[in-house]
Amino acid sequence: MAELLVRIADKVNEDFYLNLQCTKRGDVIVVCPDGWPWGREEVNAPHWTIIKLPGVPVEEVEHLVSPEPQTDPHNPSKTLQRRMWKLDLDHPAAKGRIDKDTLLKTLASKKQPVKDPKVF
Amino acid sequence: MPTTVVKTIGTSSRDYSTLQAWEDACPANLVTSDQIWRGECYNDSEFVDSSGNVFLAISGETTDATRYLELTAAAGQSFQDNAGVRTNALKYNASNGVGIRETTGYNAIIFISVNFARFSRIQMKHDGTGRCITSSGGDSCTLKDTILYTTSSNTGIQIGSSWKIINVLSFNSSTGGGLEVFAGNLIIGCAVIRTTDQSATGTAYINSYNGNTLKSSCCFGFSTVTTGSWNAASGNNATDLASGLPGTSNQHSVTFNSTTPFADSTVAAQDSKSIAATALAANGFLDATNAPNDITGTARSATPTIGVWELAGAPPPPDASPVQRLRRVYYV
Repeated sequence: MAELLVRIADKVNEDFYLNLQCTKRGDVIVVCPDGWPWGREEVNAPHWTIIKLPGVPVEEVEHLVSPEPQTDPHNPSKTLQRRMWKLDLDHPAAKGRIDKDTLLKTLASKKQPVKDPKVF
Repeated sequence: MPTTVVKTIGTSSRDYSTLQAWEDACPANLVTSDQIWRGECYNDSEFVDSSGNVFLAISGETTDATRYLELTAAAGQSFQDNAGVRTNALKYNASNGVGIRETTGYNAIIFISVNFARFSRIQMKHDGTGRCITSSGGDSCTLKDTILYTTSSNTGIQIGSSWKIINVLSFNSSTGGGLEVFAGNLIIGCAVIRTTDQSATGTAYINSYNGNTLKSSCCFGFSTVTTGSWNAASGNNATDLASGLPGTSNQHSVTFNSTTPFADSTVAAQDSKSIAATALAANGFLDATNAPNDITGTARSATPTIGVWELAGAPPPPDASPVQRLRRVYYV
């Protein structure tokens, strides 16, 4: 069973490249087992929410914390994002009870790669 | 003067229950916020990740030499603080203090791409095939008073430039465990030990570029001490190999088996405390600025023990004060 700590407000760095490494709204920060003893700030901080998925094994959703991977080790990208996946928290389905299918089939999507403005 | 913001991390009503949440909550720019973001871990339970992902990624923050992230154990929560720190077996043991363990996968436990971070007073174990720490662009960091345990052919750490690696024990139960460094790093008071259950192979201190300094450190159970060239300030190191240590005043061909020069170097009964009357004793170098104490917090002597463990009560140096000379007579 899984519980997800999800960012609901962007973390922003004024540096373009560092900003890509900051988590954004809809990014999953951590996935923990059901009944996890979250800390005070994990529960109360305004930039996070916790999505509970009773009955869903951690293994089925932990890919949501994967970073965007390097695709060319010989020409490493400087614009990889901190998370490869995001949850669409503005989708109507996010307003109600979220189950595994809603999470993985409706809310979760892979992010688009970011172009490096210094590379033509 | 930066404000140190202390956050508690643990599973018993702390600020954060997870290491990653502590990092994610850090301001994106510690320089403009003028803060040190300090995470103090509590040994409420072992920090365990079984996903195979990086357990703690630190990236995206702007830092400088006085405003940085720091991860350490809270007072009373480190293996250093354990009442039996001088008698406990020196090895990864989460019962003795904060322990961070990854159970599987090839990713590092900690990945860092931010400069100036500090890590201390913790233990890390990787049961998969990954390293304990990997950096990419994370330079000028400090890793101090830490126990690393790896179980694969990977190195214990693979880091960039200008780190200080102080009193770090890297124990390996397979064919890896070395310290892999790029440029301008200082390694002092460290021990890299391959279990005697394995045949010697591999390189202990992998010097990927140059300008690194290896001081008062040791390696045992490898087939090669180092690669590359080291800073001329290197020296006072020890190994079981016949040659290869950089610098001067080194101890080569030190006998290495399961019961010397450490209490026990088998996987089953690992205890990496140095034992008395070996070439490690009183042949080290005292760096009073960076490494005045050993991994347990015990003060180093003027001629300290090589490696992480200071032999308390070691004979004073030959040029000691009159009082110390009297002590030396006593020891004889």
